[in-house]
Amino acid sequence: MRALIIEDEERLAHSIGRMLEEHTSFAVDIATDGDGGLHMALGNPYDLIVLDLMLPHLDGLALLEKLRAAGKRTPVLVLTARDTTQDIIRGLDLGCDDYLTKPFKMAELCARAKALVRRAYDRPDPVLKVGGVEINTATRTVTCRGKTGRLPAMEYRLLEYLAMRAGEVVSKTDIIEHLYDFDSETFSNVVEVYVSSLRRRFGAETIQTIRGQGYILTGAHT
Amino acid sequence: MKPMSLRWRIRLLVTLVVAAIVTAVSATSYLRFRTAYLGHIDRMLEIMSKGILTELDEPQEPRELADEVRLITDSPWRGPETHFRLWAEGEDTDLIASVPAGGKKARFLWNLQHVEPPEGNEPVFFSLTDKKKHFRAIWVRHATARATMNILIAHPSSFEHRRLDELLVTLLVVGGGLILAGATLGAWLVLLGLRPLRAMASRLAGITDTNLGESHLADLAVPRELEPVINEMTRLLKRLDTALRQQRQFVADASHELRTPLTLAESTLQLARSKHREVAEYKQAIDETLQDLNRMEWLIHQLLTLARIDGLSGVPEPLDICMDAMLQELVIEHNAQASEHGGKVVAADLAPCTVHGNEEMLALLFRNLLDNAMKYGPAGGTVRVGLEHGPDAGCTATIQDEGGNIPPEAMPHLFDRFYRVESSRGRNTGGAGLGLAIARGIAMQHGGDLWVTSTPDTSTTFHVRLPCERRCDDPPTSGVA
Repeated sequence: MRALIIEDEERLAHSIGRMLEEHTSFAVDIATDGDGGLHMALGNPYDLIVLDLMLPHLDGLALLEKLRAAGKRTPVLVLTARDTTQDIIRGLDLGCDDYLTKPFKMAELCARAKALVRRAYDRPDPVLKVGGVEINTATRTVTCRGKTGRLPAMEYRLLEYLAMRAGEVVSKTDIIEHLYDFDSETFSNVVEVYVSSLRRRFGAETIQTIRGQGYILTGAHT
Repeated sequence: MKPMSLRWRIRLLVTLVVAAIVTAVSATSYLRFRTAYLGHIDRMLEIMSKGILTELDEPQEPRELADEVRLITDSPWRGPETHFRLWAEGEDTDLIASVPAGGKKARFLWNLQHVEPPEGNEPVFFSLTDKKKHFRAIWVRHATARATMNILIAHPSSFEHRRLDELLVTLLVVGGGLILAGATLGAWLVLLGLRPLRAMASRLAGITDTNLGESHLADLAVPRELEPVINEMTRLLKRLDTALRQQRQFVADASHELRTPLTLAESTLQLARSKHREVAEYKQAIDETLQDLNRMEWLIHQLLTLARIDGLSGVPEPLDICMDAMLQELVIEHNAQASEHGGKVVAADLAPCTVHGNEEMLALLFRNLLDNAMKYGPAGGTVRVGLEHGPDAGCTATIQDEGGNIPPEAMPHLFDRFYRVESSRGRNTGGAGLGLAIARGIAMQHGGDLWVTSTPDTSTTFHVRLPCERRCDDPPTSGVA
């Protein structure tokens, strides 16, 4: 999952970013002004946008309007210091999916972020079951053959993303775009490396390779 | 004492006026009627007395005379009730009389103690009452060859009195009715006149702090006399609404500004607390939080300063201050700060001026402007400070930076509370948009003004005009040669 944080207070943006990275499986990009934020939001397939309303250059609500006008369906979580009902209604009317009033609890932000992504992928259950693999997105634990445990961050990110899109073929480009932010260094075979390590854990048939198209998570049959 | 209600006042007034008119009209008409009625009888009595006088001049027996007199007084249309009495001056017995003296009838003919006797030939008219019967009488003196004769004729006037009594009753009833009607009408008129006020009161009762700004009284139909009240009330409501709105906006802005550092501090601490971290990371989180707390403290300090300036009714502890010396000092102080970042603050042409004001407040004004110029001018730029006489009896200080990047649409809002030029947002300037508002507040308190001019891409100049009575005695340390 990949999130974009558009927030003019740089420190707050980085705090939110680190929180999302540490406590959820998001790869995070940060924009500190409206113009840059809109540019990034339009050019990348984000799974979530955290949007502050008071932004230099381009106001948060105007950004939201342009984003929706451009046909982007990315869930948007609005952060606002204005908590008048009018502002909230305006935000929701312009197409934001959820809002938090500053100051907010970081844990709540993480929970809402995860919920928004689940909704966007049409997975209301926080526990994703694909074949014999059970992924609990709330605790970030994976259960397979009766054993529950945690995975290394990148492996979990990949597994969760494939599970969200279970039943469809996911291209390598999609995987790279959704798992890495701008700052990460990616190698050409990075996806293959993580896929093979997941296969080692859960069995070779867990992830099938569709030649020339990508991967599909089927889950181990036990 | 509680003042009498308007209704009762007007009721009383109307009653008094109506009563006065009614009384005057009634009294006049009553008196005229009375004069007319009695005058009629008086004329008749006079004619009778003349007739009797003629008879007296002819020598005849008292008996014959009595018959003649009876003939004269007993006119058929007046009936037999007319009494008379003739007697010679100084004699005890009457010459003739309609009834015997000392009898039961018409005793009043001999009871004349209260009547003023006639002087000379002029007759005297008077009214008499006998057993509830009213008489009108004439008393004439007539000198004949033998003696001075007195003639007294009394004619019944009960009929006229009854008519007059009836008239009086009618007048009293009609007058009383008129007074009552007047009082009622007055009260009704007051109620009618007060109706718009009551309508206004019910409208005013519907006004709360939330709908203050709506037009409440505009469509109210009122008499012209009440229009000024309505107009003033409307203006008052508008003023209240503006004040309340500003207050609300201020509170909203203040809480918004306080929330930003609060959010930062909270998120930093929550992140640090969310899992086990290195000591260095905790230290950094603490440092950052302290920074946020400082920012909040500064903001609260600014808010309090603003509130204090707002609350002042005049300049506290005013002194004669040498403006040029003060600016020179501030320039030196700020130049030291600016030089750390490669910038400069210089004073040019400081004309000697004395301003009567509060030293601390004026220093704050110029500190804010200088901080502002250093903050928003280009890094390493020069800030120029000037002071000159005029316009009028004042002096104008200028603080010029090399910025000039204030967008034109931002110019009118520069001195609004919490206003920050868009491009300066997000930059960690630490300002909350209160410095210029405070500066202008101080300038206004001193009877001066603060405004800004800008040459795009070249410079931005803040002008402070302050009233200045005279030149400073101290020679300026730099400037005019």
